[in-house]
Amino acid sequence: MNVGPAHYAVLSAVLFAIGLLGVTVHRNAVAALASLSVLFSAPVIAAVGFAESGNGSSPRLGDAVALFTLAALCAELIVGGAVAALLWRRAETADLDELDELDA
Amino acid sequence: MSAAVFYLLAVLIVLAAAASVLAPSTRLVLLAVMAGDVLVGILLIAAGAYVLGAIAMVAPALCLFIVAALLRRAGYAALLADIPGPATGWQLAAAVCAGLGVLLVWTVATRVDDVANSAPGPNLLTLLHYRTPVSVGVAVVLAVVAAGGGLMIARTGEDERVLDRLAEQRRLREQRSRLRREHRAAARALRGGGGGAAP
Repeated sequence: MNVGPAHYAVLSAVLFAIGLLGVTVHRNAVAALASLSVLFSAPVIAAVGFAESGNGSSPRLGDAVALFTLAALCAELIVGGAVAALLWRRAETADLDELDELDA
Repeated sequence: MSAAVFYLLAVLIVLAAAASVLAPSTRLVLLAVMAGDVLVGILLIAAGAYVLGAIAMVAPALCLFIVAALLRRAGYAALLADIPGPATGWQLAAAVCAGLGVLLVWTVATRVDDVANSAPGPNLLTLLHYRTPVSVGVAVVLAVVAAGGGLMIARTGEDERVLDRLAEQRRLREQRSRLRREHRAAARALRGGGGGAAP
């Protein structure tokens, strides 16, 4: 049995849902940030799956899209970590449930 | 890629993702996410995207590790402390995520097979070098700006120390006024109780 784009797409959809669940369920800011990494993996897998199974006459643009997604993920992790540190300095809590005021 | 390899990697990736949601401690969440990132990289390599797979295997896990290590060493270890229990309203979040997941799976399972199966095109390095050099530059600039922005946001310069001092003074003021209020209330309650008991 061949692995087609639908296989990658289904895996990507499942990962996206699990990543979204992780972001919304975690109370720790760093854990929620880490779950964003799972969420970002979903489009990477989909793009590479489509590129692998795509029309051979066109370049693997999916790989380029996936590379951008990875760059955005790394940027998000770095800036997110810095924002988490900033929130900690202001509110002295890592609990996202307690961060309910913008002027903490 | 053979179907067996794909299914094995897919199951492992989904298990790692599920572990990142269900893990009881922040450290285990980070470990599960890093393991998932490495597995995604292996999947990409198995799919023929060698350069991208190598990047996906190393870059996100490394970034996450560096962020966690920096937070731990720079006096933010409490940020990595465990907070037991899910967030408020997790049932609604879980229902929405499950609905979205089912919708996505149904959509892609019924629509994606229209894409033709054939030989892959030029590899990523050729594509980036000859066709999208500007995009590579933009990606590099994004990464550099993110690193610079992160350092700027989390820096501890003199102005930040002044702000921290002001915030600490405000916290102490609020604590003192709260204590005063509590003492007054306690004294009033005592007087009221004492007055009632006195002849």
